[in-house]
Amino acid sequence: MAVQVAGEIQDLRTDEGPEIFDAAARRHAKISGDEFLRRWDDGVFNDTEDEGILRVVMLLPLVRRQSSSAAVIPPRQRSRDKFYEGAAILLARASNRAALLYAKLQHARKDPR
Amino acid sequence: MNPLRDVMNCFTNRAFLVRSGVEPGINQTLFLRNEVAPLASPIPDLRLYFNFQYQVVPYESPRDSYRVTTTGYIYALQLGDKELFAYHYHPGSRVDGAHLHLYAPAAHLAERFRKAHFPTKRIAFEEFMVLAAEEFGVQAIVPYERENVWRGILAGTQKRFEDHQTWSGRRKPDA
Repeated sequence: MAVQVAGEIQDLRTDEGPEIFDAAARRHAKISGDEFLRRWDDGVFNDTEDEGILRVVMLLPLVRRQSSSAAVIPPRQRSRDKFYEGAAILLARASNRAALLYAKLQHARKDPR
Repeated sequence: MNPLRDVMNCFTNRAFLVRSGVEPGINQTLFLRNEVAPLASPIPDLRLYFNFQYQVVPYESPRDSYRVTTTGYIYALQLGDKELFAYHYHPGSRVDGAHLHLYAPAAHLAERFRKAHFPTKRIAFEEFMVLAAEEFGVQAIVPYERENVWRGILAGTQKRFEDHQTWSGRRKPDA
């Protein structure tokens, strides 16, 4: 292994990435790197305000090839968010229609013509 | 990425920077192998945490030349293991824009402060280090401390950064 000189940028060896990621996961989340990835994919870590978790997340490029920028929202949470977003839009539309219907009925009561 | 290295080397001689790669189109990270680097300061045990995320992208023309674009970062100043403040940019999370975390000593506000995302413009690493130097007494190391050589280096690298900057880090307007 080449000794790294302080003050220089060293390229990561392919076998180093998982090791460094594992060490960070153990330090900040008290679990192994593999377990962190499993929980990440399951959307367990949805609190990116947790500085320790975020520090592990920032090292995801060491173990995952991602083309999106710093994809911080876990995959499963992303699909959940989409679901809730869709549901909220449907609810809002339904409640708009109900409000419109109610207004029409009120109007019809006041003015039977 | 060399400008970031040059800035860091003004303040510590124990920065072991590692980059994950330069393959175009893939999110990469430049980080400190030991996660933090010690900083010289009258405040004992002051440390820098640094993680810079980037992508290598081709220029429109000529196609065989490339540039580095920032995709995220965390720069934090910490006292031992305790963070004092941190500048974050991690798009794709609940908070899309660049922001600041302050870690308040007042116990009853600590949690609120810890979770608050104070919006900022996009922060250059140079600006972060000037703040550390001017407000927290972080000192440039030999030979950069002489006649404020470090300030000249930071001014130069920041100008290069600003000349090529393509985005501000502002929060996307709500739809």
